[in-house]
Amino acid sequence: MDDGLALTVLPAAVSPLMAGELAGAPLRCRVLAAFPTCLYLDLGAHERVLAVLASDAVALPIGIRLTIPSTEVRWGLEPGARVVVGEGRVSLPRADVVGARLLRPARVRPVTRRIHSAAGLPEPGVLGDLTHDLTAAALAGRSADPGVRGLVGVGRGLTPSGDDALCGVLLTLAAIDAPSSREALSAVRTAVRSVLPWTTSLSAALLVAAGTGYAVPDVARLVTILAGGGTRGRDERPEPAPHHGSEASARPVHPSRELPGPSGLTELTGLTELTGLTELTGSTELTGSTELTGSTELTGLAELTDLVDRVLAIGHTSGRDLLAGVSGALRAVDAHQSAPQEGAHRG
Amino acid sequence: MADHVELRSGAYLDSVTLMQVSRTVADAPGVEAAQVAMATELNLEVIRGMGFDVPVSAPNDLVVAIRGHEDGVAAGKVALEAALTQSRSAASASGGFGEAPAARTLGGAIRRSGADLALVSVPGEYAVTEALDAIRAGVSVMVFSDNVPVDDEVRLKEAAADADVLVMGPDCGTAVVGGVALGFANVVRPGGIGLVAASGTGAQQVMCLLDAAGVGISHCLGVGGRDLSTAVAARSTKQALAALAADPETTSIVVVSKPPAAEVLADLQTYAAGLGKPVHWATLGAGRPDLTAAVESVLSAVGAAAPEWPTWSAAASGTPSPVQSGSLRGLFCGGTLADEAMLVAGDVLGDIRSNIPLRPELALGPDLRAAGHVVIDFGDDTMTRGRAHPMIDPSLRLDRIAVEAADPTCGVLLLDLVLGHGAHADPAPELAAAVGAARETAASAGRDLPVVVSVTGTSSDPQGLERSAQALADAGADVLLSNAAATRRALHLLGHDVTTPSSATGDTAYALGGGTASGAGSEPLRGLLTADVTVAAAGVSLLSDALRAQAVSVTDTAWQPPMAGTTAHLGRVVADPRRDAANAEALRRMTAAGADLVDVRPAHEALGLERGTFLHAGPPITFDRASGPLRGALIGAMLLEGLAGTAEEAETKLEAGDGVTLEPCHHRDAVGPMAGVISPSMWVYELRDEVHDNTSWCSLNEGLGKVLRYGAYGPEIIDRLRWMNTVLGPILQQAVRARVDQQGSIDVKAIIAQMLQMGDEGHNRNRAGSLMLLRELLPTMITADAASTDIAEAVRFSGANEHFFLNLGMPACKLSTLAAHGIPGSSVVTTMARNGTDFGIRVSGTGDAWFTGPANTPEGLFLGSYGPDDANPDIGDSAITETAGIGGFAMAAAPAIVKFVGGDVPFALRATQTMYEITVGEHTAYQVPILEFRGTPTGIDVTAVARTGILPQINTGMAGRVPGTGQVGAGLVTPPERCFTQALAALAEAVPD
Repeated sequence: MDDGLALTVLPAAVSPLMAGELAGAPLRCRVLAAFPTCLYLDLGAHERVLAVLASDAVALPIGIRLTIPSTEVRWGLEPGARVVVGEGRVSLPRADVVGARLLRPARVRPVTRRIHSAAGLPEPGVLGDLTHDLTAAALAGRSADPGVRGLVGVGRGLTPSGDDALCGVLLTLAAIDAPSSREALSAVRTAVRSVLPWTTSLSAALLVAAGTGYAVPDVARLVTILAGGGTRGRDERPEPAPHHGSEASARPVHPSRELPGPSGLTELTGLTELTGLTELTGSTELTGSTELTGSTELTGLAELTDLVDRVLAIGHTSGRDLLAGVSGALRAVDAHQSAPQEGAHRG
Repeated sequence: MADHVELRSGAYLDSVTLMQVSRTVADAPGVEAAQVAMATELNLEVIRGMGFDVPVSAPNDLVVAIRGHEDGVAAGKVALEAALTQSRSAASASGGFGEAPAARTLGGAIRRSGADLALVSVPGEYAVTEALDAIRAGVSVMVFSDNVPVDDEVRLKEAAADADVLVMGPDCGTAVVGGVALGFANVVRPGGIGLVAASGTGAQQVMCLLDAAGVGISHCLGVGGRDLSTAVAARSTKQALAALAADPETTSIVVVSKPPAAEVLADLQTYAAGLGKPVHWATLGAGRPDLTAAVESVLSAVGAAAPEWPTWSAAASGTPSPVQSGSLRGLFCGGTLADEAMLVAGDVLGDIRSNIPLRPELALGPDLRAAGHVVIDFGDDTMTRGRAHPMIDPSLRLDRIAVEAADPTCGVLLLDLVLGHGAHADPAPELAAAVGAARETAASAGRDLPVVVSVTGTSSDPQGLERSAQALADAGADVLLSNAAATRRALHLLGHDVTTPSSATGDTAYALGGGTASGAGSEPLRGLLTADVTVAAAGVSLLSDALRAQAVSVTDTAWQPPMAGTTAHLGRVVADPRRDAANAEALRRMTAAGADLVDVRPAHEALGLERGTFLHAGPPITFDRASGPLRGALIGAMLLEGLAGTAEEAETKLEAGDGVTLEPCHHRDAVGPMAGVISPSMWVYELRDEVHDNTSWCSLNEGLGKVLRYGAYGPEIIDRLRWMNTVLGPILQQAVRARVDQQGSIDVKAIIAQMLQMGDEGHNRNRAGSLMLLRELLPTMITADAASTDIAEAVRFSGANEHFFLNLGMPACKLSTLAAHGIPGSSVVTTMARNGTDFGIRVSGTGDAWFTGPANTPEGLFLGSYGPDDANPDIGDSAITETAGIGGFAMAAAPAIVKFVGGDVPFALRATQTMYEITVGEHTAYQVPILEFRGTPTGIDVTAVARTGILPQINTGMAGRVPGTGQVGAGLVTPPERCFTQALAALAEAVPD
């Protein structure tokens, strides 16, 4: 972004979740937070937040995304400052961010849950237990309010841990193509909406998005895979070439790509679950390979591990907390699906 | 008036950039005429047609032709340089200190960016290789390029189907994916109609008509103009149909095509019937509805009303009266629009001659002239070789409009104008001026020349439909949105009473419904239709710019044509189905190979060297062709072995070949630095790769300065060699053997991995490696059974030599490449070596054949008073380090090396990052800390070198040209291109039929 006086027009892709406000009448909005990669703008209502994202920012579903990276962006704004949003643009001090097209935010894809496993996820801890109990209640038709109220706004930061875990629950339920999950999703979503003022605006906005299945791409992809999809879409595509850990990737290559490493496979919980994972990701077999490196049998597993690692890297603990919610929700879904259903004994 | 014509090689720029450069030069003060273009046949014809005398050239040459007075030509040259510099700096811009330059291949750009769609617009002969890159990277690809052979198209589409990605093209001008317009595409409203288009401008016409009717588009998947031909058999169309059938945003589908093969269409209709969504057909052909009628049918099917299609009447003269004489002259940018015009007009006029004729016998000759009715598609393959599409560069058509204006047989001019992304930023004013001028020309000759223009565009297009249409109407043209209606208007003006069909009906443009919905919830084409699009692009920058204007992230490839004469070989080798797996195996073996120092022995014992046999560096050579340093080293070795008493006698015997055999070190799995001469009495290190059961050897390092390996052979050199044979060698042997007994062998590979973390690169900087090696050897050296003074001297000699380790690093690298040698189908280089005269390489998939070329002379820093004239061409087996992924390939690990070989620190960082472009992978053990511990680029791929023109970067010492001189400096060098072009030809020859 030019530091000079000339006003720059920056084309940007707008999330359809935010397109209404952007196209609407001009509104002076408060800057909630300013980071090198993004700006968060308060659009008036508590849970309405617009994220202005540089191309290297986490692709939040509530954003308007530039094509230039944060190294080329100088927002020139501090929290509390005001900017005008409306008439198709965000007017910043040094540039107008103009909506050039609608982007397609990532969304979980409803899939049939075929395999009962949460393998591949880190130990969920207390958040896992809380989200399990919440999900179990919602699936059983009991009130989701107590569980939701125990989580919303709990934790520090712009997206409190409890909210991240709740997002995991919402996304998991949205990703499972079953009537009971849809009903549970509706119940949790309703419960969440009633207490949105209890948390930060940004977190509230992300909870609303998660309630309709929207999330950052890696999260949406991972939750869809874990929820039970067995098809190999682009999400599970093989590594294009041996240049893994390429120069533009966000992180250096992780040892878990080559061998089971500390934050990847060692967190998996046993060979049975490994086998389950390979089935989940479309790999055909795990046996017969003595060299892990380059083994095609493990490609899907390595990709999943990599995906988990990328999600874990989101925020300080946001990714981990969200996965705890996914883990807890999946456990509850599996228990619910395994439990004898009313009338089943009648054959 | 003077003409300046020059040819420049290695100056590839895309046609759009060159069009802009041409205009800049032409606009320079005093320039009468100018053309800057690639030397394709068509461009040469144009330039020669302007009266320039162009020397013999090749298509990859850049032709600069400037005419003007002396000052004008000078000003034109200045403008040329400024414009070229600007375009190059824009293309090669890299982000910061030592940052990697832009990727040269589409595969590289995809890997770097994680793009999920590729866009190829390089010249057609090179497009297949780039498109294959995208398919292998698992992304769908739009091939904008034309001039791609149909066999290649089939091959691409088969590979794409296997990979569950889509090839849109070749010659795909239009696509809209998730709201992103690719290539030439109009800004249309979002909606539920999905298009599969085997026609670029046809699809644009359909989308614009739908948009005008208020109906929106979900996606438009171009498939290339030949997809519905018998040869291609709708391969991409079926994939696209399946994808749209599974897309929740798409409610019904329209297939748009130029006249398809009847049997392919029939098969496709059967296929479409099972998709579970209505499929409508806008496929042109005799007796089939035109595009406008097909759109009206679609509108009817979706419950929308067909509007009165917009028209803008000629303003200047009101409605022209129908004329009774003259012919139709249709000058089109859009091939399908031209087809449609011929189909509509042919029914009335009879035969229409064309460069894209409806029947072969109606083909125009090369001059594109005929007396009767003529329709020309200026966007046809034959008209776009080496120049931009007429939607971008309208000059050829504008010229032809002027020609037709002066032709009394021209009755009506029928034109098209296509707006939207990717097209000329504002084409209407230029075309309006040409229309106005044409009408004036005709009027001055006493004729009225009616002009009809079909404008394909929408009100949201950047150029603006209304503004563009009005400009043309103001110039005296009748303007219509519907191309079919425009054609009928032209017929009317020619005096033919043509009525518009009332509307198309279900029996001609029909829909098929029912069937089974395919895979609800599945994501065909790897989620292309649901993910937000990010693009990697190779070719015309204008198309990337159009994407950026839509807020799409685009990673451009700094694409250049491949090395001259390699196109056919590249196509064959890249398509070799064995290659990917073979190269992956080569990389796996290279990185898995071990390198343990197990012994030190005399060469006659270790290598079985007979008296009179001398090993040398590089490919095979005879003494008469040997360079100064090699001659000097061989003379010294003769003296050492006692085969001659004087240098003169040694030289005489060597020249006569009397009892002397010369053989490359590599032929015995050995390596030698610089001259690399190993004679039977010399001692060698012995290294083992237990993983692959290979052994390699290398001589002991003599230190720096005047030494045999640099061609010095004076008495002090011979004395030192004798000391090494009698004292150093035996002590090292004892030390190594004792060490092996006590602790096991010394892991040389581990030392290399460590030295890269400590600022060495393993070829010209071995300081840390030498110290680590000494640390390993010292305990058993100092306890060797030898005189303490000898031990002390051996330790001092070894410790004082910062290249002590080089002679172990080299055989370690040799073991790595040896393991990868001999894999059928692999294009990985397993040897790079020089003998001071020739540079030679060997390749895994071509066995033991050498591919050689004249060795280049290094450039770098010189010792003392030596200068470039003192340097001998490149010499030594030490390039085995680069072959295995260290040395020049690991320069980023050793920025201090630039003080020795030249360059600067950013260069060192860039050098390593550039080498990733030509290697098949990264080393798992050798890593570069400053690159976030990225593995070094490993496994030079002959095809990547040929494609990118990037030659392997070698750090090397420089030997004096004159025998006996020794080292004169150190520097940087690359192999000659021809090593790689020859190797590629051999690889192509080895591809099974």
